[in-house]
Amino acid sequence: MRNVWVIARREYNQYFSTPVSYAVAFAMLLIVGLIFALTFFGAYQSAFQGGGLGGSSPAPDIKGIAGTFTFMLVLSIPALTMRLISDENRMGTLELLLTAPVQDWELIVGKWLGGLLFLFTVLAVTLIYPVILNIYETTDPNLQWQVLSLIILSIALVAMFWNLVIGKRMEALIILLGIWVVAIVAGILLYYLIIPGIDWGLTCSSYLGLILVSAAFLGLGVGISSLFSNQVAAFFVTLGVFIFFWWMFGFISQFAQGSASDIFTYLDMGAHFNNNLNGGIINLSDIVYYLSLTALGLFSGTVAVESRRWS
Amino acid sequence: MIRVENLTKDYGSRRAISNLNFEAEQGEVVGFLGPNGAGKTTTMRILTGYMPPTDGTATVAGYDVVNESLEVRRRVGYVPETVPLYTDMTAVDYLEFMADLRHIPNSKDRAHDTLKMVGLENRAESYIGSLSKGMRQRVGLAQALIHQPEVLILDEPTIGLDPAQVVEVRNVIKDIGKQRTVLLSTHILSEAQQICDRVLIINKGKIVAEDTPENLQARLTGSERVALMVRGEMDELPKILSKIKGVQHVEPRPDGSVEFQFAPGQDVRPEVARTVIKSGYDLLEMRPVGMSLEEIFLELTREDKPARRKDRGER
Repeated sequence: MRNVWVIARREYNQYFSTPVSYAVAFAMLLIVGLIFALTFFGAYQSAFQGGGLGGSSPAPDIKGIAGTFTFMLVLSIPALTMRLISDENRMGTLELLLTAPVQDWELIVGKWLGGLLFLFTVLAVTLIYPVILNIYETTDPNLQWQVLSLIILSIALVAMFWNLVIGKRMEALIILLGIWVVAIVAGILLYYLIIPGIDWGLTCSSYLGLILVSAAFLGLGVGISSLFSNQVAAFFVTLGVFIFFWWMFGFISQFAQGSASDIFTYLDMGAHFNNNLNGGIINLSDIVYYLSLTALGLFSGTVAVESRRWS
Repeated sequence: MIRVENLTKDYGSRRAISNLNFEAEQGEVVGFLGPNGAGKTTTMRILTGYMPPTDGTATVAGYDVVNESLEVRRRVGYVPETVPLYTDMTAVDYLEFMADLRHIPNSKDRAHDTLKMVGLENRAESYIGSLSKGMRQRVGLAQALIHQPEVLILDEPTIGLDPAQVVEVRNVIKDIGKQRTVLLSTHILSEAQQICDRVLIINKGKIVAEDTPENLQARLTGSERVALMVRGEMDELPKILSKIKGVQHVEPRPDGSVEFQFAPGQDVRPEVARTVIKSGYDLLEMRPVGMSLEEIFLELTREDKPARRKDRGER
């Protein structure tokens, strides 16, 4: 288990020394930020025309941001996972890892965890959106208190990125985990103390969904990366598989009949997120679905690495 | 420490090594010599648990390389031929990472100590990508030494180094070889001669000779060879020499000297010297020519074995 952490830590550091991950994070945050700004602006314009906040217009929530984020995950996770194993294979460093006392599954899980931590970092930045929404949504006099929470969150985010840039990655990771804990606790507290705000239960459910989707995509990505020694091949195969899981299965299920339709509906990765988790419904079956996809990816990655040892 | 029995490895239908048998004890530096594609890297990869053999067994430090692979890997330090490294890490970060994978306490200190051992302490914070080939080679060696392994396996450890670095790395290896087992492959034969206690010559997946460098030399050289350098008319010299009793195989060498052989125990050199001077030549030099490891190597790894004389004539 300790090796998993050693490998994950190195992989996490690695993301901050390659331009690909900065480009991916930049694109994700830019698009998500733009969508947030536009929907936010639109919601308030219509609320103003409709005679004030809380009127006939629906309250803005985090669903739009989370939906956009999953769309970005489909497109960007292949770029994050493509080099994980394939590059080690190409550079020959896989030979070093496989001749060190590291079990094959530890290598695969470590790589996956490193990617997940990187996505946590990107996801932590988006936590600022529910806080902003909450401030504008609430009519409560405790506004200063909320502005304060926004400022604290901003400072924490800046501190995290500063530590990342100057290379204190462990400190950054600790701040990141702190942000998550504080966000969850603050979310629950806000929901019970300051009403009306945005629905923090829904927000937590959406973020849980995002984490599960990220984990599943990363698991599949690592598995596919371990089959190739060429990054570009790994990228396109991963992208193809993701598109199938996210859109095509749902599309097929509409044309399939009877139990075949049920199977494709269950396989549809997008449906589990859009219909349930991003709507505040936490079903055990959805969680099991994403966790089993993750396990499938990690297992096939382990087998692919192990197959090098077969005679 | 290393025990290999009937080791065989097939890549598809091609047999890379067949029925390899050898042993290496503690405190021994064993050289693995052979032309490209002879099976050196394959053997090393099997011994380090990277790939399994098709047939036969190999044990390292008492553990089977297939069934107790993890135990073997804990006890082996390995530098692959290409010296794979993470070019976007600093030398010390990289060594710390490898030390952490081996659960070494105070990995940062150990990383610095090991860098000092290979003479790179002043480049600890440099990115590996910015280091020269020789320095990278030494980082690779440091990686293999960081856990103070019982067995060190080095695939072509001095390739691409400048002469000063070659000497340094050889000294490091010699030092380590005093207490631990070192198996190194090379095709630089003088290197094997200098640092190895024992040499295995491998060709086409088979061991063709195994002995100390000195014994190999003695075994393959049936007679003593002497090179003679004189000033004067060279054309007549071979004829004159041939007439001396006991002198055999006289032939000119490309550097202008003349080489001859005599059977061990019948030293004809005083007679040759007298004859040369009597015939009006100035004797400049007379020195023994040992059969170099290069020649032994060629001799052993050549496919068809023509007469020795022809081989020397080609030289």
